[in-house]
Amino acid sequence: MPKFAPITLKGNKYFYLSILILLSLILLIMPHYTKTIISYYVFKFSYSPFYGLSDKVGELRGVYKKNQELEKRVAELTLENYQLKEQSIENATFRALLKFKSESSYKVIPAKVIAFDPGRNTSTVLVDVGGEEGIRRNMPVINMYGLVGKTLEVMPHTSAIQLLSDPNCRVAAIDQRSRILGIVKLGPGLALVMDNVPFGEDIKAGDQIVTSGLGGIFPSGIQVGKVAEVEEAKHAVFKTIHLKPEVNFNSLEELFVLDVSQG
Amino acid sequence: MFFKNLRYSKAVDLVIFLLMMLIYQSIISRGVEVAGITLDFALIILVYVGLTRGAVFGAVFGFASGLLLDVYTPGLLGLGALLRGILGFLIGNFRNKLFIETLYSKGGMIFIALLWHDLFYYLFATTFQIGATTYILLFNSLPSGLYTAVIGMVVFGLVQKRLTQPGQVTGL
Repeated sequence: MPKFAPITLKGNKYFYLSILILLSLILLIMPHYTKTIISYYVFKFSYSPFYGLSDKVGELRGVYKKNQELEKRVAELTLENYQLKEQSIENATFRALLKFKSESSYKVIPAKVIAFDPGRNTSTVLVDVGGEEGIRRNMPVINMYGLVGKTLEVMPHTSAIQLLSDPNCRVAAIDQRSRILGIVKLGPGLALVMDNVPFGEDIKAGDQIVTSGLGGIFPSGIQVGKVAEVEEAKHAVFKTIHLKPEVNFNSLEELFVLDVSQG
Repeated sequence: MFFKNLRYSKAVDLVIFLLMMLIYQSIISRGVEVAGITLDFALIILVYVGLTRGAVFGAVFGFASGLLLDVYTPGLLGLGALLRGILGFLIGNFRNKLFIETLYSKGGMIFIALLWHDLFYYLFATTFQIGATTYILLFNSLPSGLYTAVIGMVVFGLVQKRLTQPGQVTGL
């Protein structure tokens, strides 16, 4: 009698293929919503951990790149620092040779303008710092553009600042290029002028005028304004230098009071 | 049930191959695109699995990898699983009759497998629009197939070289 092998699906590769095809077809004919839900969960449990890893790798790449840039910047700044230190030593040596008094940085007290004095054509302003914050009379006041004025009256928590545009304010100044000295004050027409510049001295339009440090109140080197026009009247002893101030006195907000005594 | 016919080591192998595919898809794939031409690394693994592990293993891996790829297009969920499952089965089933021995023939097989997969996939996806399918095959599948075939040959070459170290048996 011929032997017949039992027909079993177990172990038959076509059986497995049929099952897989059936599963695929079931998935294919499912409603779109169900497919979306299945896709979401399959994605969540299979891809998500790797995408998280991929994002971390991306972040690390970013950090690595940033680190490289910062290292380059540090190298540049270190070199610049060496050069500045070298120049500082040279400067100190020259100052010692020339018997110059050493200048150190000043203590800076930030101040916020809280009021303009309307009676004096905005030539004084009130700020929110006073004696309790270390403010005293005649301390220089600057902003990011240059010299603003000096402290005039000091109260416990407020101070009045006399602006450079005040008729009573005088500042010892110097032409940064030609080193010609003069006095900056409010001139005719409410414009700043540099006075006391002898006739024939070398001052040109566009020259930068800074504080000279000679008056005892303002330290040297603070920007005051640029030379707008040089007036040379006939038979006059002094020139009249018209200045364009660096600071806009009509829009003062954040100021800094310099404590020159503390460095 | 499906794994009953598979030995434990084969199940581990299956997981490893799927992990390789997942890592490629989620981390590497974006970095290996060349002028918009994508690499179907899952297909390279599928051909490798079919040739080395046989029909059932090929079919299971094809189904699983196809399903994992289908989640990107939920509307066609199951289509990739179906086509890749059949593809894995066919490669595994006819591996001894295909005379695939050289790297070139393996590359050719990857190329043909990709075109076969894409032909049916896009026919179904475009609801049997011949023009659209032809366009996709010409401008997408052909370059992608060539790229995948070349990379596949490199991968097969590296695997073969590694497996033919002294004391190893290639299986390929």
